[in-house]
Amino acid sequence: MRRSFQIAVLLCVILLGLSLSASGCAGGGEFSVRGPEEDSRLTVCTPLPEEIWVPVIEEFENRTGIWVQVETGSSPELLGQIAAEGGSFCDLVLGVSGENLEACGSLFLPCESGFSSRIQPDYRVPDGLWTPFSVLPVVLIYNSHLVRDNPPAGWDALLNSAWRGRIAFADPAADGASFAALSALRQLFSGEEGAGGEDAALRAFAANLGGRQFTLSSDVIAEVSSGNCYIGVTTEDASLRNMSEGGNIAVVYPREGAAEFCDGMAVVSGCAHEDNARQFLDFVLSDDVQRFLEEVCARRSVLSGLAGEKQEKEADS
Amino acid sequence: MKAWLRSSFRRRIFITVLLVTMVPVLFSALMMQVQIRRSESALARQAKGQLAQMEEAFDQLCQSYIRLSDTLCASTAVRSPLRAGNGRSRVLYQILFRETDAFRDCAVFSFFDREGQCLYTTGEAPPAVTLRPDWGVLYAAGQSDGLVFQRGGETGETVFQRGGEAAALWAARAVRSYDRRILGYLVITMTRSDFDRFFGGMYQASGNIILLDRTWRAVYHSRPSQEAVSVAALRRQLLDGEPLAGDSGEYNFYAARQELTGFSLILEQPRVFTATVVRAVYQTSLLMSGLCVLLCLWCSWRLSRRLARPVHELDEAMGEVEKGNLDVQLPEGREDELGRLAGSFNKMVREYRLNLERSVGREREMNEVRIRMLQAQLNPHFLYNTLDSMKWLGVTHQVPQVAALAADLATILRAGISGGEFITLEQELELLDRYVDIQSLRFEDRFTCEIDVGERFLGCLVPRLLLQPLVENAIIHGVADKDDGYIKVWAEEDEGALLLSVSDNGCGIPPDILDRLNSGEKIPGSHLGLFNVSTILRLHFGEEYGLSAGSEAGRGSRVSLRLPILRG
Repeated sequence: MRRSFQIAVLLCVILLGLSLSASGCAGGGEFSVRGPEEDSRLTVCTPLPEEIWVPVIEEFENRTGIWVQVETGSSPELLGQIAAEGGSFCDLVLGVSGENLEACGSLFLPCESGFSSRIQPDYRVPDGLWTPFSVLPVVLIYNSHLVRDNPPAGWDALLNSAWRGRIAFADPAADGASFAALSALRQLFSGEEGAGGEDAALRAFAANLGGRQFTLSSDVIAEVSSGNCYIGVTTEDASLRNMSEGGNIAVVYPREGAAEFCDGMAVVSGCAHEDNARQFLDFVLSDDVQRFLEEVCARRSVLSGLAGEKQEKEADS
Repeated sequence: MKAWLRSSFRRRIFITVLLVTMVPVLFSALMMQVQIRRSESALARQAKGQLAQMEEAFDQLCQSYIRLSDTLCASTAVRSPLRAGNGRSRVLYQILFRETDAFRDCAVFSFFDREGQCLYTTGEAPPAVTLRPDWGVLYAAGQSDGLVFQRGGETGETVFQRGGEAAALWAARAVRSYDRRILGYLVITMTRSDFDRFFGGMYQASGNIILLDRTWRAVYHSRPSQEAVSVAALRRQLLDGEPLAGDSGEYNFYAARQELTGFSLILEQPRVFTATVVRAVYQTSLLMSGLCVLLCLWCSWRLSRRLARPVHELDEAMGEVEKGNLDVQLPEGREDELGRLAGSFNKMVREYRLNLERSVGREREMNEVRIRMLQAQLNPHFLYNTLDSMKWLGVTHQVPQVAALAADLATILRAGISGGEFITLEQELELLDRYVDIQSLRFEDRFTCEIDVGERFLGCLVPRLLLQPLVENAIIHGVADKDDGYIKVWAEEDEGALLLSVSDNGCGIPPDILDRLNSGEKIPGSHLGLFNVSTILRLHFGEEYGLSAGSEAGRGSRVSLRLPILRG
């Protein structure tokens, strides 16, 4: 009796073990491929739209064989994550405005690219904590269907009460274009006192926004294009791309002079793939990429001798 | 564990029932697992075969493109028009169409000048497209001497279309002059439709084929709607070192990397047993196991109620009996062994109770007899002292008969009131002798009493004053009226018992009294001494001992006592 009981218990245990082991092995497939080694990897985080970073990153992969992982998000989100996780989050940040990178300089490694000497003097970063990626003129846009007479011509149009509540403007804390536009407004009205002073101008502009601010620069184009807003402030490249895709917006280069800002790249301090990140910096500052940004992405190069007039011609046409 | 099991009947039943039910459930679960694994194994073999076939076909295609590029790029008839930089060479077109005849179904072949302007093409579109020589496939071709392969798609270049379709794969080779200068480029373009035709029929329609470039960007996906999500998931899984499971987890993936191009070919095969199905199987197995445990608990509860409860009741009843409660009875509704056991217990308790009652009754009878005998003694101490006085009076007044009579009676009385319950037969016979002396005086020697007891019986222990009532009976009711009365007392051994008999030659005992004597019944008014003797023997030694009597009218009677031989 006792022996048969022990045999039954043993049988139960064996069956249970086999069931569990069989269930653990179920599924899967077979792979004769393996992921890249650590020295062939790079993680880049960027707030840029896909049409900018995809061709650049893929060309980098094709030329170097380095596998690039891309993390996307808004500039404040990405910088916040880098501040929290440091080099374990990503190796390099791409396309964040220079002001934001400057503000978070302690997160990055100073880097000197082989192409640094060719960067236009105005855009050079003295301490090398970040490297300019492209130059972005800030322009005014308007909906070409809704605004037929008296389109905006200069920055002072932003103070015109005719556009009250109809101005698409992104949060200047997150968007370099908005920050640059505010700076342009301040410069325009600086030196004047009272009702004509810069403070009064900024207050008038804030009143004209009607309490609305958008998160991303791309929202500005969408709002103007859809007719929710009549005019907006955004970057030149995004406007030109939208126009080339048939969008119903028009670009205005302010008569007082277009404001501009740089977006840049920086190698994150303590990152795992610093060599590959430096390689990426050199690649992005190469003639091929800078020319590509000019000619295909409607951006302006930071290199001397490459900054053409293609975009202005397109806008004029 | 073993002690825990053994300490409870119910636990043992539970474990036994659990084992009996769990073994089939576990076995069926195992069989399901085995069946799932066998099916997946068969599908895996099939998938690997298909993947190997596709890999070989793609490899051959690439090899063919390389051989074709070798031929075309080495041809002077190609170099010269490209050096001239116009697209008007009929000879080049002739060569292009002739050499690509076998491949034009699945690719477009074009020549671009060194600025990236398309000059010649086998495609349907007019040769008005451009490619950037400093970017993408033309750049890669410029850096290499051979044919280079790159994914098409969103490279930012002007999209080269065929029938409105974007290029999925570029293959390009620089056409160089003898001094290694680039004259132009040979560009081979494959679209998604080309790949559909090429891979068509090589894999099952329910599956998908994915072609990825060296860094796992999608070149081709047989189901375009899934391309972005599926490839992104695969790429992330590869980079994270996880098993390839795609985005939905409902496919098995089989991957192979092609050495020639560095591209990876992935076959996506739908799982017969998807995660949902497998989860459902596991959940069913778990549910069944849970139900089994519940069923076991219920069965063991029921069984133990049926089996353990009667045993428990029996155990409790035994405890009650030990405490002295003999009224306890078990229910006898069952017909099985436990029912019979309960019946036997009840019967045993009943008989025990009856025995006890009998024993108590016997003790009570004994007490009554003792009381009767004490009553009969009538203050024997006072009598003894009186008799002693009478004896000395007889001696003083020279009446020796009175003195002897009083001495004998006093001896008998002393024997009756002092000492233990049992005396030796010899002492008994001595008392009997005194009694006969007394009666001889009374009846003036009209009878003779002979005592014939062997030496070997004299040491036997007998209840005291046992024979006196018998001899008295023989005298009073037998030989009292005769002048030659004869009484004999003798002892013998009968089947291990001592038989003491008293016979006389008197008038005999009437039959009705004889019957009552032999049956142990009380005889009202007479023969009370015989009844008492019989009762004492039965109470002391049991029912097989006692008194028996025989008589023959006018010729005498015999009364025998049967008792065990006890040595002092």
